[in-house]
Amino acid sequence: MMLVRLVRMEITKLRTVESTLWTVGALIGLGVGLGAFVLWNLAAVCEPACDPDLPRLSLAGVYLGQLAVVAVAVLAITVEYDTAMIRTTLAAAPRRLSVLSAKALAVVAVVLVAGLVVVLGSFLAGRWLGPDGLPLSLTDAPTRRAYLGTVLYYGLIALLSLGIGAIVRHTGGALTVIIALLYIAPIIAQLVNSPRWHRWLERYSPMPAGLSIQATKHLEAMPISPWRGLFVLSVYAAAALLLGAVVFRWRDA
Amino acid sequence: MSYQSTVPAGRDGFAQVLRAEWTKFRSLRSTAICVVLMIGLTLLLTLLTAAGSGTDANDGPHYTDHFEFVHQPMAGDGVLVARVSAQANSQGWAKAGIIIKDGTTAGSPYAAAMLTPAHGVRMEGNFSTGIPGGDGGAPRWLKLTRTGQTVTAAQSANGANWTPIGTMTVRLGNVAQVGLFVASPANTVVTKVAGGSQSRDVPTNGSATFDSVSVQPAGAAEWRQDLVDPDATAGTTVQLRDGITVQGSGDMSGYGLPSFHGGGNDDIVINSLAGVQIGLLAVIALGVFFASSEFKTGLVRTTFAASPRRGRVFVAKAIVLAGTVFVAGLVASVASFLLAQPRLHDNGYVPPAYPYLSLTDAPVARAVIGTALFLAVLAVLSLGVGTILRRSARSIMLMVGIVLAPQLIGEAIPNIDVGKWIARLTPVAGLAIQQTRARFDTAIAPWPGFAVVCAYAVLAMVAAVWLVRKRDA
Repeated sequence: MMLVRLVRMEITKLRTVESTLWTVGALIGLGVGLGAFVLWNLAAVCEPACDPDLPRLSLAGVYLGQLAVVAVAVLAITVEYDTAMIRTTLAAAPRRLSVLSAKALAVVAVVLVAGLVVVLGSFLAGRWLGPDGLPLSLTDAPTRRAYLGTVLYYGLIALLSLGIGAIVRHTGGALTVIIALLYIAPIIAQLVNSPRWHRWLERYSPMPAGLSIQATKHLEAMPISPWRGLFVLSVYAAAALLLGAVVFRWRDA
Repeated sequence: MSYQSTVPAGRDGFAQVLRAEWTKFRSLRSTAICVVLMIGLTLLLTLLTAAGSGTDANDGPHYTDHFEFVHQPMAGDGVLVARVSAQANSQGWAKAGIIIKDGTTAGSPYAAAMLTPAHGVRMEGNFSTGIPGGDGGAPRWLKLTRTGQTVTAAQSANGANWTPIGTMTVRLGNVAQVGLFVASPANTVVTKVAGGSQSRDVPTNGSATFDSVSVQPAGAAEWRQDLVDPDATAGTTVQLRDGITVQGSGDMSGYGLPSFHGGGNDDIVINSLAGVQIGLLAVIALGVFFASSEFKTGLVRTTFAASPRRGRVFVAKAIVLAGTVFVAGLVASVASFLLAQPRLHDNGYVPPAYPYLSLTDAPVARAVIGTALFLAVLAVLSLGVGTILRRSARSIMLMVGIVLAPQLIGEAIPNIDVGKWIARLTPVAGLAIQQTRARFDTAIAPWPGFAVVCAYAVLAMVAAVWLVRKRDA
């Protein structure tokens, strides 16, 4: 019962912070818009025939959309430190782990709902803008996995960000650390040409591994299977959240 | 009776503002963290990139020798003259002209005077040496003079006034083959495939028309036409007449010649500075924090009370920031380059495919110093964005959205041209300053790319100064 009230408290905070509206709006706009842009380009180069991974392309907005998720989740905790609100929060609810759990639940709930809107928009964009003759249907299991898995990806990115936010406690610092963590591997992958390194990066770094959930084609050639990839990301998220919980519990606020 | 303070009036020149900003900057905790992080990330990622890159470019042949050759033997010294009356623009590096070669075997030494559709008149020889002979295409007269092992090339617009192009030493036997040649290299076509891009060569067919061919001392009346190639078949006899058209594809080229496409195409200067692509994240944070910390703590009101000319304060901030980042960036880029070289050598990046590089080579110096300049300009852009938005979170997100994310989005977009446009129009175009090899995926030349990021920084600073003057602090 206590947790429910804490979650409501956190939802109220999220709801009344101006940045939440902006970031959720950015998540939906960028998430759907970028995917639609990619599909619109696909139609131009897909003459006469090609074999694109349509669900994955329609979900390309995740590259920008996840930045908004990172922002929502990080701000949910660091803003409290920036404004010293955290002391009020902890005075009102001294059980710190409950506070952090409530924050996690509230943020994940908001992100999952927004993520569902994004993938629904991406799916519709895929049906309208995708090349003719390439049916996109949610009755196809890999397609369903790609779209629903992306919602889970957003949720895990939110948890990872919340954990790092709790550790770093400084908005800009936490954002920088998370962005470095997410983007290092894909940037290195663009530069190195060793196949061994590519496999290794795709398997063990949070963004490429997590995004393998979006693959629906050539699965046998993937360095890591979709669910296993999402599992790698959840290990990162769990580790960050665990360390965040430990320091949140024992450090002075 | 008026009161006059006994404290001498303080000076409030630009130097004082600059000093104030420097004091603030160095006493921010984030400054030291960001600078250390920038250098550390850059070095670490450069070393990782160097360790994960390899090449087998030196395993392949070190030259290309494939062209159409209309020739006759010439014993000892002599002069060959011909006019190229027309050349088809089949490829920018298509070659048509006259050549003296030690036989028709592929790989034998040669010297040639040639026209190219896009690169003017040239003398080339021995698969390694090229001498530009100025602009100009067909019709044009070309002349090769052999004296022992020395060949001299000259060109003329009218066949009367000759301009020398150059001289080179060629290992020729007593009897060499002299005559006309045509070559046209393949085009590299890039297609996007799952997980990256793929390049393949599409042959082009060159064509040129010759007249006024003369050999001194006069040789045999009979000319032969052969395809020079490692596995060519026997050629045919041809009747040489004015207006003869020769068609051919291929290239005579090797390491050291700009038209050479064999071997490796990696830009190892970029690979030696690759860590900057993540190190720039710390620079963005540095620039944003320097602006947002003023607003977050309300320090900006004190700052403006002490120095009411607000625009000047932010110009001083930009100077302090850019100077610091440039110095730190130079440390990072020089160290990255020097640390990466041995690793790259171990991984096969050695001559002839990849000549050894030194910091004093002009393109390398431009890339290394340019990297530090890019970081300094990026820091100013971040300062401008941080000043406009006043909050670190949204500023960092916006900067990441326009600097880091576009590189990944470009990769995801199936249309390679759209990817190139993204690379041209976002601030990361400034990293083109690191390019030392033209590649199929090159989006923008080094200095224009740098101008793009400078334009972003100037726009952001102008908007920032305008806003801080207009807005309540």
